[in-house]
Amino acid sequence: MDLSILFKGLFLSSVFKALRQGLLKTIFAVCGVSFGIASIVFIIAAIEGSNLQAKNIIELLGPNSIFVRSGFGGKHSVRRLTYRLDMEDFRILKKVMGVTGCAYIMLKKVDVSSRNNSVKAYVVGAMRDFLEVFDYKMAEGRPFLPREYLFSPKVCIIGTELARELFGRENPIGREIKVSKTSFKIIGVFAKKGKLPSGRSLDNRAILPIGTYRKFIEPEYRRFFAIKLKVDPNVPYDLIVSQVKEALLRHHAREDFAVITPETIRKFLNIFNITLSIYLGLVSMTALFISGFVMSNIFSINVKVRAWEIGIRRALGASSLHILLQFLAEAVIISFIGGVLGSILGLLGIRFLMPLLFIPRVYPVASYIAALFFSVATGLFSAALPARKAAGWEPVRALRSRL
Amino acid sequence: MSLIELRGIRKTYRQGELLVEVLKGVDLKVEKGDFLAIMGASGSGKSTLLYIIGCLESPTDGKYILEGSEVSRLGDDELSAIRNQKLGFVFQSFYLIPYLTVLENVLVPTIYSKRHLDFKSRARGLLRKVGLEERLFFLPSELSGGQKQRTAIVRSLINDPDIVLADEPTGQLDSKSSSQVMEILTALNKDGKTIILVTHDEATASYAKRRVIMKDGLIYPV
Repeated sequence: MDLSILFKGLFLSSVFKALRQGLLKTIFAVCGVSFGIASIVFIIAAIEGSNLQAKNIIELLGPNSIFVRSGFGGKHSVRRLTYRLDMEDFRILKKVMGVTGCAYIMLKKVDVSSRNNSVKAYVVGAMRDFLEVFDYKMAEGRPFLPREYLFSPKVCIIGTELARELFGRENPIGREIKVSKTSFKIIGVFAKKGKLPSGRSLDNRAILPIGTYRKFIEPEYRRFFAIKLKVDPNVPYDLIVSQVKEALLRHHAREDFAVITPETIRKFLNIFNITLSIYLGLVSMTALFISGFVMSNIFSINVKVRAWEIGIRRALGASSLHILLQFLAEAVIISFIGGVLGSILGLLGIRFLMPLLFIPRVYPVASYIAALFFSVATGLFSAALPARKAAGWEPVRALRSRL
Repeated sequence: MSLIELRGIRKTYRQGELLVEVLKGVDLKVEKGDFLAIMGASGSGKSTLLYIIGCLESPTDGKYILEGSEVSRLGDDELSAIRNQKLGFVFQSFYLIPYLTVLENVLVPTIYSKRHLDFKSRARGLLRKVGLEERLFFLPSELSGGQKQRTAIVRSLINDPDIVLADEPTGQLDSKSSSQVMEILTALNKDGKTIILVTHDEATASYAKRRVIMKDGLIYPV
């Protein structure tokens, strides 16, 4: 098969001029392809994004960790904090074989203010092992000293975001924040932790030593939201997890808690992922199918309208292969433009729609390659039939079609 | 050996249930350098005969020998190459591609040619000869009928074929443009091109060296 014609300038320029001649048809076909492609780009980004999210959450959980939270019972319990774990739970979990560290998290949403500014933020009461178990690293200043856990000094460690909100670009170390008329001195800023899957930031928090928290924020607490465990990497992880569950079930009447491990995170997000893939997959396949259908129709009309042109080209020496190549080239150009436009459209979708789905934005290279591949394939596939038909006409039949 | 030899050419069309025999066994010889006019009323089959000579359609029956080789046996690629290299076409309604300029239209046959020559300067030269050097970048819609037909003639010559086939070349032209076009064809014939012309117009046919008449699918000498 001699394809050298594809590299002739005059061939290509005449293909482009033909596309310009039928501009409306061209635009129509380009739109058809680009919608299909946009949805493919979007779906790939959505899947990769939620994989990334799984990774992020697992990283947030930290290595060799188990997170026990209360909730998953009653309405809205996924988002709203519930307080169903108590001191007894904490003591039980601490004794589970393989658990090397254990800390509960006490927190309350309060008004926090500096001299310049006032914001709503969570204040956390940190027991002795808290900073270590919850993987807090210091960005500036120092962590709490052992004696600061025993007494109730008015000191605190804050997150980078809270520091920025309250003090702007100034160094917060040594400054004071005010919570319900009491002032606390900032001794440290902890390193950036990132966001929870819900989009809630972990960096706009203030951490107080537990005694201080009890004295000034919440004197009468018995129940809390969550307990985090650090485990010995030499003990089988699954064994520890099952023991943790058993121990908690002995103390709780029903399973009003959740044991969160990297595996449960992966499982949950997999279900989400599969649902998303199926839904978006169907949508994008339908879109591609429709765009192929539209293209195919446009091309059969195109071939019919230009039958006499095919005839004259045949009379001037074009073989049926040449005619086939001409129409396929038109299709490839249309679908290529459609693919590029669709990618851009998909990117805009990722930019503006992903945040609504709580999926981190990613712009995967694979999606561009897939987009270009699928668009060109759609173009070739849908144009092949009409183009073959045109190529197969006896020259004189095509010529006479104008008369 | 004749340049073109037709032996017992038949062509039958199917029109619904009906079989219509347009050519009923045509014998014709055309020598190199000939200028032949095929005359006849419309529907006499003269255009069909020209299209068969031009390899645009195949006869239902009979032998067509072009330069000693039998055309009816060739496949699509070879027929296309013959149309491209050995034959030039001029049609009644010009058949210029509307979205291409005069120069580009003239160069269309070279897209399908395997030869690599400086076709562009050849095209400019030929267009100058027929007085279109100022119209190179005009679209067909911006030309008069005569200019269109002169463009079409240059297009038929771009690959330097031996034979030029003209189907009612003056059918849509006024008398002044008609005589211009026929003088160009006559000059080409003098340069050694073989020309076969189909027309029903006496004045057009009078430029030819030799005339035949088609009637009811058969050919008669004048």
